[in-house]
Amino acid sequence: MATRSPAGHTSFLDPTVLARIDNLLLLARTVVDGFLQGIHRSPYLGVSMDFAEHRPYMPGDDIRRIDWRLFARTDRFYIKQFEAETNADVAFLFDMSASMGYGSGEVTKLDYGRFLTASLAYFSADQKDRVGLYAFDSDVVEHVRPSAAHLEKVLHAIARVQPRREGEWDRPLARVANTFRRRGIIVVVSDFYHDADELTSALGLFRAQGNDVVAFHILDPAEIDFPFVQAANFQDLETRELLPVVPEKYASVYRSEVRAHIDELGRGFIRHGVDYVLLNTAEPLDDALYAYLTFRQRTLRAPAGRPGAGR
Amino acid sequence: MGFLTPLFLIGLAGLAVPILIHLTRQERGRPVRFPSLMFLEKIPFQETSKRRIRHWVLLIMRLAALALLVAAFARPFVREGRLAAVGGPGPEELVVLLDNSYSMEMGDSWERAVSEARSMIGALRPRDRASLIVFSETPQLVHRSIPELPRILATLDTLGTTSLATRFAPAVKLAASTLAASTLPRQRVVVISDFQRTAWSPDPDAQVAEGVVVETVVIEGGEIENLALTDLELGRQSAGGRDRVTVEARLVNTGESAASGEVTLAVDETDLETVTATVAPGGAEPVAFAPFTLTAQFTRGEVRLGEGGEGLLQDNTLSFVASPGGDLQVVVADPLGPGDSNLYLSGALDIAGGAGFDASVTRGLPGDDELSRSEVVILNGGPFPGGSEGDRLRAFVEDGGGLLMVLGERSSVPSVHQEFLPATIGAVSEGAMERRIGFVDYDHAIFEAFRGPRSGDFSQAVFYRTRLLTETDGQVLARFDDGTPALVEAQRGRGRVLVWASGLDRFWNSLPLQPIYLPFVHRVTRHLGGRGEVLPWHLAGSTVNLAGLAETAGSWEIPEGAVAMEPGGGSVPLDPDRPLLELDRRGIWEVRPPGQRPDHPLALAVNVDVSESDLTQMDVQAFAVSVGGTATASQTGPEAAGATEATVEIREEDHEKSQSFWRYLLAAAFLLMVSETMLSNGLSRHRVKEREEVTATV
Repeated sequence: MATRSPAGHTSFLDPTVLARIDNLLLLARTVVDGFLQGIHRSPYLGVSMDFAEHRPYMPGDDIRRIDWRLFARTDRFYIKQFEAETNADVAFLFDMSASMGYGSGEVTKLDYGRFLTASLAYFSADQKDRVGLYAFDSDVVEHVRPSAAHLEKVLHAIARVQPRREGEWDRPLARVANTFRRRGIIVVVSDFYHDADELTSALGLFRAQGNDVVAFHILDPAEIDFPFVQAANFQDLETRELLPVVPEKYASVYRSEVRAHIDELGRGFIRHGVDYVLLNTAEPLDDALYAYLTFRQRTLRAPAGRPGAGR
Repeated sequence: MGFLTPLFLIGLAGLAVPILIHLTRQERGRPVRFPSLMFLEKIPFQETSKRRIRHWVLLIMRLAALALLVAAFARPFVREGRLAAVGGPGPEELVVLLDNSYSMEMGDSWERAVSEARSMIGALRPRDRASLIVFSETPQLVHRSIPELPRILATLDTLGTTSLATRFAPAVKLAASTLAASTLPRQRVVVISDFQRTAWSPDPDAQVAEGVVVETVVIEGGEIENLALTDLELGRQSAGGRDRVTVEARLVNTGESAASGEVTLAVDETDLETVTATVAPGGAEPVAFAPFTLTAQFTRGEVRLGEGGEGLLQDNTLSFVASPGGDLQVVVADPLGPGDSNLYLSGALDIAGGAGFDASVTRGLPGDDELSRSEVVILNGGPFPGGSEGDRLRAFVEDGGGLLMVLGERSSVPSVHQEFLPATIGAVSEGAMERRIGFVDYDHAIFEAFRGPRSGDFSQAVFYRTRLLTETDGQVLARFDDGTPALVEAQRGRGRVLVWASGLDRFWNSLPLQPIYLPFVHRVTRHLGGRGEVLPWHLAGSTVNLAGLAETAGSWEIPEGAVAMEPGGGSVPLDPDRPLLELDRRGIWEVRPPGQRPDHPLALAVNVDVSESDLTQMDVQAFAVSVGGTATASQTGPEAAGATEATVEIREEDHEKSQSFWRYLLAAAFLLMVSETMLSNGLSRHRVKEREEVTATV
């Protein structure tokens, strides 16, 4: 499994390698642990512990955690319980619309998003965050309430999703807004085939409500470069609509349109305080993990509810 | 420029089909699945791209192929202009019918006929085609529609006359079928012949198609005076166990003045007698010779016209072959003895003493000695003998003898001998109903001679009384009109048994008063005696079965590996299983093993059809009209060709037929389609390769 990439890094983050791992938990652990070891950082980077409450000593508890001062006052053994100071609800908004099923190579966008979400969920759970999931297409299909114990549920739910229906944003976001009441972190994984203004505005609302929002924009290389040559009928994976296209003449126009969409998304998200990360399914997960790591650091430093600086 | 079938030009509307296909069905492969057409739909190029024609060359090739096909079906032609000027009235299909019957031997008729044919063929132009048919009784297609005229000219030098008579109808039919297969616009039949009147009888099937020019080139034979030997009769008399033959020939003068000639009889290449005969104009004279004795089987004879026979040569000689046979020994067993009951039968068997029968009448079965000498026994109205007599009779038949049981009132058969007869004998049928012969097996040797028209009518005989016959294992050769058998035959051992259901006298029927009575009795008796009819000579052109001939010739058999030697030399191999021989030359044919010269082998005499000796000419105009064709011409020389050409009307069909542009258009369309297919396949392969490269890149 531990092959070496041409760049000299371990290829744990290579999507084509990850595609061979069926168990998402194993995959996420492999990715995160390998990633963190690779950068020689503490797995608890930026995490500090705060006292939360006392409870009576129970046999078997670590005696180092006995609050001796309280014992002196009350002559009873109490154990100090701590809570991570950044302990937060992390909700993954996972786009499972039919367009996510596209892949010009071995890995589809959905696979890539699945690896990414699993890895980030594991990473978050590892940092004592409560992870939840909203998998959606035209509506929310899979919903896992954020909880410290729901990592496996999230991973199971992600493993189950299949891209079938046309994507929609209004209804799923409305349901997320109704159920995700506690301030937390919202991670959006999608290919964002929607109007950029509407998207950024909708996700900006979550930001305005005090949530930290990061948007991972997943695209296949063929969607970016449009390498097609031969004229053909192109079929929309979501609407099934057919369109005769002569790429050799209009590929450049397409590319500029895509570029404009990406730029518009980037500007819109920045404007609304949403972190935006563009991911290419042909590239390893490094960028995504680095981006998320940076994002978490920033959210840890900044008080919750305050908009942080964009990426 | 015109089109023979311009309606086909409507098909040009089909040119829109490839264009529409190009515009609407450019890509018929599997669609490329793409996540979203969000950005593609923003690009305003789809409509134009749909309508863009990408492979102009392919489109033009398809359109051109279709246009060529339509044009070919419309059958274009050029009415005037360069092509028409070069082609003139269009190429011509010429069929030369050259008469090579023996009447063409008259003078230099044959040489002049060949010269005429040579002129006709030599006058043809390079694009013309010619066929050559030589004909007499049957036509022979020597060359069929070939453009190599020198080949035909060379063939003409090798041709010669035959011993056969002229028959125009089969030749005209063959010419018509030859022309029917031709596509050339002008068609002409030239008949080169002496046009004898006897050679043509109008035949509705012997006609050429409308538009075919029929020319007649009459080869005048000069004087039509001709002395010919037209008939030969052999009379036989037995004297002292030897056959003496009397030869009588018939000399005919077809000329308009009296003529005389010397007629010689030769036997086995030895001249026996010469007779000088003078024949009146248009008359005939019998020439009889003194009898000579036949000493050997297959003795050859010849009656030839010497001095005075300068006309046709082949009808100056009549050949014959005769073999000694002796009289057939016949016993007529009549219970009433010689008298009225067998008057007609005895007379028929003893007529003038020259019928070839030695018949005697007895009351019962003769003694052993006489029976052993007999060849045929006729039980005339009496019963089949019982006891030892019956056994003797059966032994006689099984030993090769013949038995004819003529039924009468007293006819009966002992039960022990019933199975020996081919039919059971029933009651006498009598009453008001008269019977007549309703069926005759003309394929049987007895009745074969009566097959032809005016060759005897059995239905004229009225039968008042008959015995009802029911055939058992015999073959019914004749039936009455009520279906009951009249004559039944069966083979018993080496002999034959015949049962006749009525009498051979006037008491029970009127048969003895009919002309067929005598030949009927003779043929029945000879058939029972195993003596088939041996013809002294055959007609040229006829086909004989040598197996049958050998059987009728007695003990003679075809030698192993025998071949037929033609009169002029040369040999014809014989099929041992079906020894059929076509006698197409006049003279004596021999059948013998090659390289051997046995004394008196099987020989066949062949004489020409004397109808050809009549050189009277027919009305050639009437002939030309009756064989059809739109334009007819009757010429006697080669100048006819030019005259005919002026009469040919060049129609649109002729133009089109001669130019045949449609062939070239079809060929061009085919080439275009092949090229288009190859180009299209090349482009497809290129596209697939590109697609694979793109996939690999992605």
